[in-house]
Amino acid sequence: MADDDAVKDADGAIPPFATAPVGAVLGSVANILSAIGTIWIGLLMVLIVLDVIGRNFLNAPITGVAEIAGRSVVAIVFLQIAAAVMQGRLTRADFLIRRIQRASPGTARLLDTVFALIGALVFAMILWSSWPKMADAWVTAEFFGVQGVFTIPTFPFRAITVIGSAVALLACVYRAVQPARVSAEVAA
Amino acid sequence: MTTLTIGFLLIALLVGLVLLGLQIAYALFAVGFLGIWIIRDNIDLAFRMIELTAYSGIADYLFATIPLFVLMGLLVSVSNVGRDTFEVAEELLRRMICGLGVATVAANTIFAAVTGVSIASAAVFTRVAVPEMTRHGYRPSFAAGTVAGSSVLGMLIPPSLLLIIYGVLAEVSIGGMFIAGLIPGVLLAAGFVAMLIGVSVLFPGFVYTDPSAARAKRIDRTGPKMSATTMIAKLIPIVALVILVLGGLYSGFFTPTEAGGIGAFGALIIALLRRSLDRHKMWQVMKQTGAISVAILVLLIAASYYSRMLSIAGLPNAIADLVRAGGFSPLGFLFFYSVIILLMGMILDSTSILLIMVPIAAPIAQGLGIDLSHFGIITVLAVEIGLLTPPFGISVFTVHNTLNDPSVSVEQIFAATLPFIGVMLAVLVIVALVPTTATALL
Repeated sequence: MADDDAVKDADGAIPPFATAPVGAVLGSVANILSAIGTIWIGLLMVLIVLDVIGRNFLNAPITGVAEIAGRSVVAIVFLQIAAAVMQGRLTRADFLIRRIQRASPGTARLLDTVFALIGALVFAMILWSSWPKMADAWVTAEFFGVQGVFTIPTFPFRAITVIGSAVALLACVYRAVQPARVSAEVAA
Repeated sequence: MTTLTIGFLLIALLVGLVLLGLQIAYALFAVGFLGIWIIRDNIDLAFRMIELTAYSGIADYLFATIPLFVLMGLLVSVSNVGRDTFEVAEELLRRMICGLGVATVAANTIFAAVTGVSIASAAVFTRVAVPEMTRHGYRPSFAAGTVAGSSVLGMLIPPSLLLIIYGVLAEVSIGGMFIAGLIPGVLLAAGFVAMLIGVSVLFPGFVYTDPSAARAKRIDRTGPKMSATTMIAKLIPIVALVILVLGGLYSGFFTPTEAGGIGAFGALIIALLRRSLDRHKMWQVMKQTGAISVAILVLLIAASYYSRMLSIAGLPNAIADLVRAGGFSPLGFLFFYSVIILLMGMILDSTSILLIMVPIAAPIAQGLGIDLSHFGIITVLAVEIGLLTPPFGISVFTVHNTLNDPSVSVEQIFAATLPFIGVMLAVLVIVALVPTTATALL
């Protein structure tokens, strides 16, 4: 069975609490969020299968599947983004930095720190601009869907965007001050 | 400085940052933000648009296809469906010239119809086909090259992640893209088969470690035979899945998202029936699905922000005007465009190339009267060649890492994929010259 196995363990190693308390807490929070996102993907599949069966065989479609699925995609992304940052899984072209790493590890470390800070800036911008919208959504009880048919409050979804980018922001800062680990990954 | 100059400078900045190794999503966001801020001289607008894109940029039913097809591909990968397909193809084709090479291509073609990720195919068939080919006297590097070369079929034969991403970026129907990919995909597979046979006849030393022994083994008929019932039993799951997903899609019974959901569910049932999933493994598959899909979806959010910036700068239209004023014929443009993509393919991964190029190039192609589905197939073919070309040939690296055989170097695998690149270039030219290859079934 192992022969045909294209799936590797995607667990990022969380540093032990004793040596790196911040990394341990941040890593655990990111992994919990990510696990919720993972389960959400499974639920999304179940929802779509139920809708197809209900619509074609039982004449009972589930209302709002398209809208819920669309919103779910965004939620899944923001739930998993922090873990992706933490484990250095965001897509990048590493052919040049690998060479820089070989020639001058110090330069590569500096670049990685700068890159992590740019990432922090990006998440800070998303956080900054999304925060007021989340507050509005709570105050005005904003919803999506069709009134009278189905309505779902947008607050939880907006909150996921805010929480996800906040944790991702912290993860970026953490990686910026922990650059040795970053470079080790690039070299590997 | 005109808006246009600023736009070009920003694209140059983006390419520079990406080359230097900045995470592509960060680069797209940062350049997009700078662009909107500078061009409109309005930082509030840049913030408003980043919020809008983060919250609504990919909040669409269509984007759910990505995690679902990834899940389906990973589930079929763990359930030994790929191995069974290869074993049947091997049994049927063993006596052909270069039979195992052809069997690898055939199994990959069928497997491609249930997975949309080239890398998944590459990993599965490295473990299945390379040892078997080596045992039959093929050079290990040639076997590895065959697997890497034929794995690109996964991205052209629907369901394919790249076709989905192109469809999203160019605003073309994804179902339509899946149909457009069929003939070129089959053409590519046929080209691979013809090339394998040709190379085996003309340069046996390139293919076999010992040509005469390999020939003797091929003609030897004493080996164990597989009964027809076993073959059918081995093929039923994959055939059922192909019919369910592609049949449902082409008949219009399912939307792409539904096909993804049903396909993932079908793959789950197959994996459970074959007892290839315990709780631990199921969780690993799910986590891997999340990891792969989120990496792509984040890029799509970032890219949609970047393309908003491009349209604010009026770049696509301006470049289209330049191209028209420069007297480019549609074919000249396609040639120029393919060359750029091939060059980018040497350093960037496929998704990133699509994200950077398609928002600029699709409006130009449309302006020149090129059908966007046709254009998409050309784009994906050219991008796919990048999966095989050094220094960033990700399929080749996957095969090399999975194989983990010190006697086969990355360079040897790159050399062995050269004939495959040749076939892909030929198919690229054919598709570019004859648009009906892509649009005939639409």
